[in-house]
Amino acid sequence: MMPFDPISIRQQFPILAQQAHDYPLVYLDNAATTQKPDSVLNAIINYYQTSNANVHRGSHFLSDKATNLFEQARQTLAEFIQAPDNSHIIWCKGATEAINQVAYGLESSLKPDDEILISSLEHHANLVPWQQLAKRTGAKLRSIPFTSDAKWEAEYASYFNEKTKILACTQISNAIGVHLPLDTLIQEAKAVGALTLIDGAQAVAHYPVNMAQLDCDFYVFSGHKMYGPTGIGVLYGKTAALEQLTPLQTGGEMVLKVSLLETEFNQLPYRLEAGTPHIEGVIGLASACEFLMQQDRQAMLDWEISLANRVRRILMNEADIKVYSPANTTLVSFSVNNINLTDLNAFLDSKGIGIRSGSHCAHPLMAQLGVSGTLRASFACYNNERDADHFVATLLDAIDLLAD
Amino acid sequence: MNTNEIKDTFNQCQSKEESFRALVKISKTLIRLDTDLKTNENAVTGCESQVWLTAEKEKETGLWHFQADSDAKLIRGFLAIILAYIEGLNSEQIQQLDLLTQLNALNLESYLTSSRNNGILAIITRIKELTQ
Ligand SMILES: Cc1ncc(COP(=O)(O)O)c(C=O)c1O
Repeated sequence: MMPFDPISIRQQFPILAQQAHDYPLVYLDNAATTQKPDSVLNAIINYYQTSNANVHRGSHFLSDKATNLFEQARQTLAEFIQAPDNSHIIWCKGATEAINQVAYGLESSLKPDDEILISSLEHHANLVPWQQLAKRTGAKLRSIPFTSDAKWEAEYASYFNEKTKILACTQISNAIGVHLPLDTLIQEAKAVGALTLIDGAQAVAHYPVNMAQLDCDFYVFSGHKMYGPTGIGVLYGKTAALEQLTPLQTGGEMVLKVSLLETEFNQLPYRLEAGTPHIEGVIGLASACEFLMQQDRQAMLDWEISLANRVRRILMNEADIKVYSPANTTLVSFSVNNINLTDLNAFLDSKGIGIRSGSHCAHPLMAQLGVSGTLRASFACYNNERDADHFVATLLDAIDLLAD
Repeated sequence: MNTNEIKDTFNQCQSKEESFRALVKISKTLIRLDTDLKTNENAVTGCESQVWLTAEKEKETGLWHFQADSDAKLIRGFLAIILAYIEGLNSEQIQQLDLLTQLNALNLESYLTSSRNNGILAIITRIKELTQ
């Protein structure tokens, strides 16, 4: 394990060394997507320069090489999330596709009046697929109203009953950085025999995760939010849970035997992976896992949290600023009284600072908070105190300038 | 401000920050719309911020008069500029006007992120539609 060093980490991300609108680039939109280290970029280039071929097909030199890399990557991912073995790792485009596969795949097991449970903090990716599934099946979608401190409340127990078939909830809110009490939620769901899906999209870049410990049925995440490439992500599932899923897509290597009228599907994980996979993405994602596993994860997380806390402390003392994210997370989400978010964002952008303003794909949460949106500064391992301080100083300038 | 004053103001700006300040300043000249005019009918869709626009033609002269508003100050700045270019023109003059080129000449590109740019385009399209 390498001791964590924010200076040498940053040097592995050459994209950050550029100017934006004549100012040094400050990238604080990491919850939307992270930048990629040289090692990930090189793994992808190296794959194309030395090993490119279609996987699992034909037996020739390059095809074997590509297939080995591809299946080794599955092994790396299994280690990364501490899954018992490779067959639990299903490649998909990202968290959204993974959730859609599960929602679609469980359709035939739902009846009218069954209940699907989510939380009020969900990204639309973990809401709309369930809402549409509920519409198609007559099941009922219910949402546990977590607030911004996300404590388990005694009355939440009433959301779990014999009709509850699925609990799908996020590990960390992308909009306000809140962590849900997953252990209790999963325990309650198990007690009523419901399947559990955890959306780990905002967690995997920051927190080591352990499938054996978490004990959920499905866990989903996207590569691009954890230093990997876009277009690749993972659906983890327990064997029995994955076996229950009807494949969302069919064709290609996911079959064993096809006649005109019938198809015998392949075993897991291939059964849920139709078509030629995103091989370079898989290679890049495995490299991103290696990048993370080489780090002192605790020191890295402490660094990210210290930067978010540094910003949060100052914003908390500003009378016109309302902060929605708790302390000790990796992002700061806030709004400013009487100042339009896009105006603030425009000023920050003109000074080279990239953050996100808006609803963060979480309309129900914004409605619950009584705002149309927030500004969100989200940190990654390569950010530094200069980024944090420059952001705060520029924000305060912008507020001065834009106040009536 | 008339269009010459606008051009002078923005051409004199030495930095992005100065043009941002100028845009904020000009936004304050825009007369705000009455709440009862902020209807769905007057809303310009396709903008990241809320925008409303009304257009009225004088019967005798055929000249157009506009009112506009937005919840975002920068957009109000852009609206103030746009209205300065089109206020009191007739339909033909408005249809012939290349508003985008006029705006681009003010060096405000750095405030036109792709989504804001789409918003400005939506406003210009709406103006042309209303005054056809
Ligand atoms: C919590 C959460 N879930 C799901 C998603 C969807 O991820 P993707 O767009 O990569 O599929 C995101 C991304 O913004 C997210 O933050």
